[in-house]
Amino acid sequence: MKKSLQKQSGSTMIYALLTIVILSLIAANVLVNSTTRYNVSSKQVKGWKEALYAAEAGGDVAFAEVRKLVTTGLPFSAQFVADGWTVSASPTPGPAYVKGPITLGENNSLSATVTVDSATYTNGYACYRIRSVGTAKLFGLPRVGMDDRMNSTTKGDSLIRKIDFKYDHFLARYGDGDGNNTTIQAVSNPQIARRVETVAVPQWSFTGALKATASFSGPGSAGWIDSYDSKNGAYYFAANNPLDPHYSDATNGDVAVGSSSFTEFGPIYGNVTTNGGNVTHSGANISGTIDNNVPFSIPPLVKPDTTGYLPGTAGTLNVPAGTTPSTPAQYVYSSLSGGLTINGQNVLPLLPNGGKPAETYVTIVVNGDVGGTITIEQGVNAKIYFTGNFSDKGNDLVNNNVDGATGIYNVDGTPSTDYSRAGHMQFYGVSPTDGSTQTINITSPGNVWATFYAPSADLSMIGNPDIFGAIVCKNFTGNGNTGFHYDKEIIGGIPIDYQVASYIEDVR
Amino acid sequence: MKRKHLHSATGFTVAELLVSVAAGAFVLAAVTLASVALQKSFSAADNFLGTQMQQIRIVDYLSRDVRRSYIVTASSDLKTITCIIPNYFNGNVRSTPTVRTTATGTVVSYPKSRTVTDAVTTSGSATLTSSTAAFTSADIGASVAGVNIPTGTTIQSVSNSTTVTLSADATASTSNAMVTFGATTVVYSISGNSIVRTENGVVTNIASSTDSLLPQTTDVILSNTQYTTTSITFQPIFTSGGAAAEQSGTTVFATTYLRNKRRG
Repeated sequence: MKKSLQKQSGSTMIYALLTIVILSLIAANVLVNSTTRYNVSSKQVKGWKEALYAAEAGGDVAFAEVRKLVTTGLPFSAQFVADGWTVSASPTPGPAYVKGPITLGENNSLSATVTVDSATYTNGYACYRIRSVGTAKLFGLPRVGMDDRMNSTTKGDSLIRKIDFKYDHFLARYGDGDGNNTTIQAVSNPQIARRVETVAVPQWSFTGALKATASFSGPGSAGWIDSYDSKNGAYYFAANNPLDPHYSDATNGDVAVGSSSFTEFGPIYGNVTTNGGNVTHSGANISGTIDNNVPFSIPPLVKPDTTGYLPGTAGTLNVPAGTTPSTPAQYVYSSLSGGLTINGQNVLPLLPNGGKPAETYVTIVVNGDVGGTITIEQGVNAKIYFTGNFSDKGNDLVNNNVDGATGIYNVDGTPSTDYSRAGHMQFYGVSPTDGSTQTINITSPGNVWATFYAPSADLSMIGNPDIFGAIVCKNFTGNGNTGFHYDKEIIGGIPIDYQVASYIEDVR
Repeated sequence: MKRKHLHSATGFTVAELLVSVAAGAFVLAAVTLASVALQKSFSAADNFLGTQMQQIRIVDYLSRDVRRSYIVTASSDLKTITCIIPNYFNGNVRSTPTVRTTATGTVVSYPKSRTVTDAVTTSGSATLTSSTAAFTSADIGASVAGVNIPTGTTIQSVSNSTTVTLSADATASTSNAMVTFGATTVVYSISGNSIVRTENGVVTNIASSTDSLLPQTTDVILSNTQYTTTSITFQPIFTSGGAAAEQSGTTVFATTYLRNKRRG
């Protein structure tokens, strides 16, 4: 009996083993298939996302370089060359600079190559096109077995992700992106590349009526702050008349203070913001909203690189023909205390409105103080930088342009659309490098049509001058009968920083 | 001894045979059942992974397009998404942008999808005017996207360089509005068991499953930004937890911000 039992157990073991083997094979098949699918899928997803991260990292590197243009004051080419970027043949006409491949990630699986060029201009200043290619290598990914079709038998594995299994599909079909220099280039590993294009545009010096980083005290008790739009012609007071057709343009005399120090004497027809102040409508004459929790700061203004500037002539400066907002005539002065008259150009005789004043552009850098009579004739757009102090009477700043640009033309004889009289005379106070405070004093008699951008300056209005334009300063003081009238047509000025204004992904 | 030998040479008894056949049948049945169950499990796991990949693909597609959109609008049932995207290409050549500084900000346009900031519309009227648009007959059929203009609107006719008639009436009156003409329109929608992406009329099937794939996107607009939140679920083959529980357990979420927000 015992022997017979031993024979039966042998048979059972065979059954059991066979069962285990069959089940194990099935289970192993399940696991192998699932794991393979998972690994392949996860590599695709990971690579797809990481390629974008790499592309955007390259874009960030370039954007940081563009922002340096403000702090160094160097021209585009000089700045990029100085930081090790190399000249790129594409895109044309350039100039364009390239950096990369910048490698990053585990085992350098990611790389970014970025190209920057000054593709276009606005307000006479360059905007920078940043093209970045991020590449993610997919180590261990099979080079076969995927399909970009989506149907009942395929999974659409590379439908969106466009994996380069053996060759770079983009180079083969699109070359540099514009169809030039197409080439068949093998890839060392399967890879995914993503291409991002952004456009960095200037953040302008003038984005509102009056900004004071440290303190505000004004306007004079007999004056007021309001706004107007020079497109509609010369200023007149409309801020207290809702029925006036230009009432809506009259109540944008906004005052922004970067601290809690705010003192008001006369009415303000606009909004007020402070950083920690306790301004309320009670006891104040502020027509708009009040917000006491708006911090801001303004970076110091760096003197432009004056390489290539001509020495300015004393007394009278005749701006040559051919200037544009992006290619102004450029002069440097050691000081401007003896007065200066700047003459522009007229429309050529054979063109429509021949002989009439034409828009003319000049940039002046003064390595010292500004004073005396400064006159700009019709059509002249003057940007005047100064490193010292500024002191003048209102009627010493003679701006012969007119609001609405009546009688002023473009060089081709078409009517000018630079409506702002104040926008034609712009003063820029370069921040002292020793940390000291600059002063800008404007006294009686006379009014001023000009803009002042001087983030490190104390600007004082004494007596009864009114300023028509826009102001950025450190401390603002206005007493007596002084007033300020913001011209809403003043949009721009100079770049004080850059921002990304467009985002494109080349999905080919 | 001899008797013992004869006994060992005999076959199984009937009882032994019945027991062994029963045991064998039981084992065979167990193996068969296990095999079928494992095949089902494999099929379910494979299907689950496959559908999950399609979820992620839908998210990737949507994120890519929303990120580069000017405007994104979601239908009231959250199942149809319309993206208005810059028309970047001119054939196979990348266009050079133009940049304008306006009182409301800086506007970057590409030649085939230009943007104006002075558009005027009247509620209930199909007429749109802009003093800077410089309309030509080449604009007929171009997409129109902006505030108070229904999704999918195109230019039906051009009256002159400043006035066009739209294919749909404006939903409210606006002045100095930001409107983009000629942008690329991409629509995501559900078609049967498939999720389809339609770009300027060209349909691409980006996901397909019998598991009731259900993407739902909400378009969130704040004063200074815009983003979309998407959730995608499906009904897996596994049913032990009940249909609703199983479906909610498959949810994939995604949030994407518009980098080119333009709503005027």
